[in-house]
Amino acid sequence: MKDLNNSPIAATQPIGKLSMCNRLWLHRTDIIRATTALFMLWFSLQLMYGMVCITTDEFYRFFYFLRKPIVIAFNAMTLLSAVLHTIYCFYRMAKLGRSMFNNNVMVGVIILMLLLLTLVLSKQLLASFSV
Amino acid sequence: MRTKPKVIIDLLLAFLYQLGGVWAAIVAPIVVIIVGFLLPFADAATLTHLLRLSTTPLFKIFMLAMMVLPIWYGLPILLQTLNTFNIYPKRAKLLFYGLAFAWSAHAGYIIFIMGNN
Repeated sequence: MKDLNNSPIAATQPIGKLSMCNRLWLHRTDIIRATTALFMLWFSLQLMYGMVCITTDEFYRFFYFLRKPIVIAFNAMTLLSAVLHTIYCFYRMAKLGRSMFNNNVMVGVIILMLLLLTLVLSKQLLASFSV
Repeated sequence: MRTKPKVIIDLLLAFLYQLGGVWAAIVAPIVVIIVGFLLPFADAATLTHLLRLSTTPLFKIFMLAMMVLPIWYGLPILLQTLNTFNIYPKRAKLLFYGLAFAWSAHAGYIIFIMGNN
């Protein structure tokens, strides 16, 4: 994450006197993380509804719920936020690895291995989903 | 020397936070693609296959992790963001972690108790 003390807005005046717009821009990374967290909550609720529908033998409700255009739009935003979270989390883990190994090459290796793990798991999950 | 219980709880919460973040990073995108974009337009054979799959224990454990772990990451993030904007709710930690625990208990109830009846 960017060091906030080096930001030109923060250097000129104290944070308490900033306008709302500048303050939002100053904390943009926090806002993006909070938005991804909100979409995680939405997706968890959706899965919960799906499991309730499966256990009560009324799976068609969940099926027709997922086909609504507003839900598809929300799920598109959820996918975007999930990919953003993946990038952010891998970047953070790679930074952790750099502090452990003190080697810049390891950062790329760690990110590549994590991406490979993600791809293999995704392929397995897709294969188990389809008949 | 005995370690204090509070430290153990803090360690457990930090572990759940990190685990939730990593789980959401690795598994969440493909599950979002499957649930949000492949499932609504799937044919009858795939749906039957999914319903048959939904009784297996591995599927249940996977769905439990998919529902519960991102919550233990997401709610502390929301609390951190509130604190960034100088909003400090009273008993915030109890509220947020209590909500996460209640969420987990409810998910477990849905999957393992409602599902077996």
